[in-house]
Amino acid sequence: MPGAGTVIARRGLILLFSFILIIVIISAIIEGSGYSKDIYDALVRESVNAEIMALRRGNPNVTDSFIREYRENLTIYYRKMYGLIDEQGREIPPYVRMWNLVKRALTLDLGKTDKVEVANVVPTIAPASVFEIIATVLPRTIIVVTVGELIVVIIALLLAPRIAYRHGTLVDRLVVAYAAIFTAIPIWWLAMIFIQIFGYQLGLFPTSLRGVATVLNKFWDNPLLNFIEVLKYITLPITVFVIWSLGSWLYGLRAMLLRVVREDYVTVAKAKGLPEKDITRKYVLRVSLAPVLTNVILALASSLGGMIITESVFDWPGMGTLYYNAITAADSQTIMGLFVVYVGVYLIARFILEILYIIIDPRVRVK
Amino acid sequence: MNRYKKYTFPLILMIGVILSMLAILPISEAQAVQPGPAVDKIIARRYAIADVPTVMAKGEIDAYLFSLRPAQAEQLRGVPGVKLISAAAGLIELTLNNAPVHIERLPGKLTADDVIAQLKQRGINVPRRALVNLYYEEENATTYTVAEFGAFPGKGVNPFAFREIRLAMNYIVDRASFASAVMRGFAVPMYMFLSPYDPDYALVADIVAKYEFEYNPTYAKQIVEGVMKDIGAAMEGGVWKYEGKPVNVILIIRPEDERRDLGYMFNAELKLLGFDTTPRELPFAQAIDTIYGTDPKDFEWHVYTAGWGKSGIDKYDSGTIAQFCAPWVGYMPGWGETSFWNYKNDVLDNLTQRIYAGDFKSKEERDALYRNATELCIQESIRIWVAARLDTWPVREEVKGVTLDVGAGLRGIWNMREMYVEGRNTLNVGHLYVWTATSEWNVFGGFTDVYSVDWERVTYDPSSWNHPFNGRPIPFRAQWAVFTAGPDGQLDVPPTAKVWDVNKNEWVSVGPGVKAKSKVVIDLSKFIDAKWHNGMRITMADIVGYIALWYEITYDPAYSALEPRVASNNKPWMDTIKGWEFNDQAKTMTVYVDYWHFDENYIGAWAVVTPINPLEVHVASFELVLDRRNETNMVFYRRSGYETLSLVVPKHVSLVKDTLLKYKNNNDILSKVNKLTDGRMSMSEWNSRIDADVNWINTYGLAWISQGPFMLTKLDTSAQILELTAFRDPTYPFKKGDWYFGYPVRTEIVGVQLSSPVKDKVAIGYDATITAKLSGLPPLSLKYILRDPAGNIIATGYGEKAAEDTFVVKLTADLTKNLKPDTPYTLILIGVSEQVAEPGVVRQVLVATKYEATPTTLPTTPTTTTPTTTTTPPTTSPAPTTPVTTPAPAPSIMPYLVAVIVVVVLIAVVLMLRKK
Repeated sequence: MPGAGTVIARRGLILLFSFILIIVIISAIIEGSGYSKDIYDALVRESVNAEIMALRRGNPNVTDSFIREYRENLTIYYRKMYGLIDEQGREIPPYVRMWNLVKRALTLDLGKTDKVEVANVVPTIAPASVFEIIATVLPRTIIVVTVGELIVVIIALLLAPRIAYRHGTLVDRLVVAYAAIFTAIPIWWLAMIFIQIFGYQLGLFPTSLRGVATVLNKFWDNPLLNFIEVLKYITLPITVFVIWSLGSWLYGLRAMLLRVVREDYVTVAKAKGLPEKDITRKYVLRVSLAPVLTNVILALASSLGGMIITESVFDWPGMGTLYYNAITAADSQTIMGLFVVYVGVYLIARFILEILYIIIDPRVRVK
Repeated sequence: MNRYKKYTFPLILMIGVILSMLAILPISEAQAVQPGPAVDKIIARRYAIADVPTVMAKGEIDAYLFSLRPAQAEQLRGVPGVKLISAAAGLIELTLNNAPVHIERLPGKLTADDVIAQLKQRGINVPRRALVNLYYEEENATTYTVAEFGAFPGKGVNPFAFREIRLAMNYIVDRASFASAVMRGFAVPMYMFLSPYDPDYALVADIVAKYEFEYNPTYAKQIVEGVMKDIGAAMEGGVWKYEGKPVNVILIIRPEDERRDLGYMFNAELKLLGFDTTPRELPFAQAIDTIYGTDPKDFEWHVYTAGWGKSGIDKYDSGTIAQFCAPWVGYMPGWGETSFWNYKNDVLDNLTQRIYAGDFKSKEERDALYRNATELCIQESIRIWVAARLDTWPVREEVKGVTLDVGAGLRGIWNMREMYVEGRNTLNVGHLYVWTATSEWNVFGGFTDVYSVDWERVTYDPSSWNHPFNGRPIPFRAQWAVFTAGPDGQLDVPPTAKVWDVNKNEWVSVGPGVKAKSKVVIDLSKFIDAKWHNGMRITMADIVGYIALWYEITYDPAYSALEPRVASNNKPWMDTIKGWEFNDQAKTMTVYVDYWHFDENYIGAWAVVTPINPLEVHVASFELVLDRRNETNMVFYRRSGYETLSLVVPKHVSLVKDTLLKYKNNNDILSKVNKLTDGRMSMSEWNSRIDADVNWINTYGLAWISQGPFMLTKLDTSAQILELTAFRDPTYPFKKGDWYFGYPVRTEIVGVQLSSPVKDKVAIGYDATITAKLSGLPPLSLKYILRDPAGNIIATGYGEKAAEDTFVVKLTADLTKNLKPDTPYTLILIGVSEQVAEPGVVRQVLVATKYEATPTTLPTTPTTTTPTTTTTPPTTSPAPTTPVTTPAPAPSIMPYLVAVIVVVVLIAVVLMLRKK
């Protein structure tokens, strides 16, 4: 029987292989399919035409032969810049471009983006380092969505076992109703209502989150004061997120725990007169820990993907906006960078889960 | 005397109060005329468009500077305390692909009939009507005939290759409905490339009227049927078929805005005409790729719903007509891409190139060129103009000092200088962004987006600018005197005048024998010895050095190769400069230019240069961008793969600062600078300048130092907040009110009176006079067009001036004798003001009648009528309440003073009269 270390190492290797495979598939979609090339070809044409028109405007008498030569040179320049041809002017085939992309992604050489739509998310000037863009935008999502998710998870873990334990009571029914209502309400709409009331009408919170970026940039100048300042900005979005998200979490965990609550040993524990706190903690939650942890860890990991519409409502361009802009601008560098980060985080979360499974349930090792 | 003692105290009190008020008066007036803009601070923040109604209603912002589209502006209608300002800033049209389906290239110089005959010999029967263009090419000393066909056996039909069908498309666009229903009133119909707001519109209004592009699908159908039958197409089951196949038209429809509705409206009309249509909704990138990235003769598209932005008006247009009508600029199908089929029109090329290059000898000649080109452009109808979009800006009602720039709306350069709210020293302005990745703050190749241009214009004063109502260049911070020998003559350029020699890297005398058409003496006294924002004096060195740098970037082979866009954009202007003379004592600069225009203001504006930043900042920028490009990877004009220099981006500011620090006590640099300035810089001044710049950068973290009414003192790109602080230096030449124009007074025809022997009618064979009374800003003029019921123009001309605002149109007996009895003729009267671009137009129906005069009397019956139809009144345009000459609304203290005095006198009288 292999030891825990071997199991963990084996699972780690499988996840690493998955990571590489995903990167290859994404590269194939972006470069191998010719999608990226089509976009770059269009960009080359657009850039060259813009320069030719400027030249014609400035020099109405310029000859066609000069224009032709100028166009050829410009086309070579831009095709080279977008990696469509090599230094000798030879076409780089899509499969070569694909493997170049794979290599860069695996060595975390995320490169630079020239797309102003992507640079605007920060905002910074183009060309900008993809790594720096993600490093700037990711914390924005973390301090709102991930922190919000964490708060929701903590509240849900505290309440859900008790609600499950008292299933059928008024509290239980209220939670079910609450979950149904808030699952049906789009978060961006809830956010708009909250901004209107607490932001514009009562003036309690800022209506735009952009100001927090400046505070974060100089956070360490005065951590305490800046922390309070950050709280001022993030309270409203986190509140909205928690209110919206808590229902489905409570409902989900309750359903997960309900099965355990109905087990005989729980009934016996109840009959023995054990305190409710002990029953929920030791008899219900402990047994359900593996699926609960799976939900929690994966939810936290997926929170890094951001929320496009909600970010827009709070005027807080995070990972969701970055994804959207990178895809609509067909920015293969940034798309790949985001996938590297997101898939990496997801697989790390999975790896952590594997370790936790082994810790909380030794049977997993045997399997 | 004693009985008057009781009045002593109140009298002393009254006198004291009056004296104290008089003492305060000079101070208050001094405050009112303090240099600089109307408010002390402008705070600009980003607000998403969706939030604008809320923040405007709450008064969180006083104005929103991003122009709103109709659907967005609609949400603001009726918001309490908010008024909307509109200007025609967007143009919407349908571009037609007029490529031929087949091109035949035959040796020899053949006529159209020859070509058809040759084809027939080859067994190809093509009707003569299918030939849409014929031209000749020379190759290896052989002439070839190129014949382009709009329909050809085996190749199908492109209906838009036929000029008649393109012209007919004007009659299937219901412009009025589009402007009112789809654009919700935030648009005016357009019939050509100029909107009624353009100054040149009045010049060609009669040509536009001649075509009377009203919605008339029946008429369009007649034309289409005629052409389609001639080329051998047949209508089967309501669809035109050529060789048994439906004639298909692909529409590329932009779905992002109202153009989507336009696309489908046009699609429906095309179907009714019998075309098989394929509407395709493509967003920006894909649409651009299809329209500009494919050869028109591959027919990936036939119709494109195009939109254009417009930043201002020009009294005498030279670029718009070239861009939208002539192939040479590269905006017509084919786009100048040599590997594509390209629309050819040598006549339009020639006419518009002459207009563009100023190749005319009088206003009359220029106007004639413009009219000819316009008529040809309309006949060609490559573009079907639909509407001028009225972009809209919301402003709080309490904001004063607003000027409606006819072209730029609220974004006009005047507004941030003059807008204020009574009792407040800060103006809160919203914008969609205050900074984006494309906001590049450098004067050589930057300022390409509104988020940088709008703020830059607040921080510097230009030497000249176009008038907000009529588009004529006016002196702003420089004055000029123009001496010209043009259009035919030449002036001698003094041999001592100088030009910058890019080979020798110094200013050199032009020498003898140099000629120029015009000489412009520019008074720079409002620049020289005033201050830069960092407190340093603006000197002639700033101007001379700046000009030298422009020579460098334009003509130096290495620099121009590094910045081809900057060089090519600037070269046409620099080529006309023949010499410079700088007079430091008189604070003047004389520019010899090989340029002439019948309006001397155009020559003046052509010659002026505006120093925007201190010279040392430019020198540092040149070093970073051009001399150290390999290291910095920076450019002046945006280019993929490079960073565009921006004097507000922290890492660039840091580089500029480091570079400036290296310049201190640097003899090599000073020597180079003295070459640029022709020896006008001392080491002490140089060092002081650098100290001031570095101090500025250390204080504000920005390297944007300029000379205008506001200093850029904060730009938080992350939080999207920008702060502008008033520049109140005593040397700053302008004060509140200097650039306030208010709203334009629209020209209107307020009364029309017909005098004829028969009441209300024109007597056939007798003179008739039409007297029109105009309102508007003089000088005014009146143009008339008389059309018969078929739409033919039977008379046109200018009304005779009877008074400043009254004009008389005489229809002579010779003219009226040819009129048909009881037939309605249309008289179109166009009132034009030299000061305001938009003309007033009315249509009057005149009915001719037979009249037998008695031998003794010849009565003339005047009939006063009210204009029946006024075209293009924009529903959202602000009412013309304030004339152009209205003085600035600077708060006067006189009313308060009088009120206080009256109150004091009353109190004194009461005190005096009170009983003890």
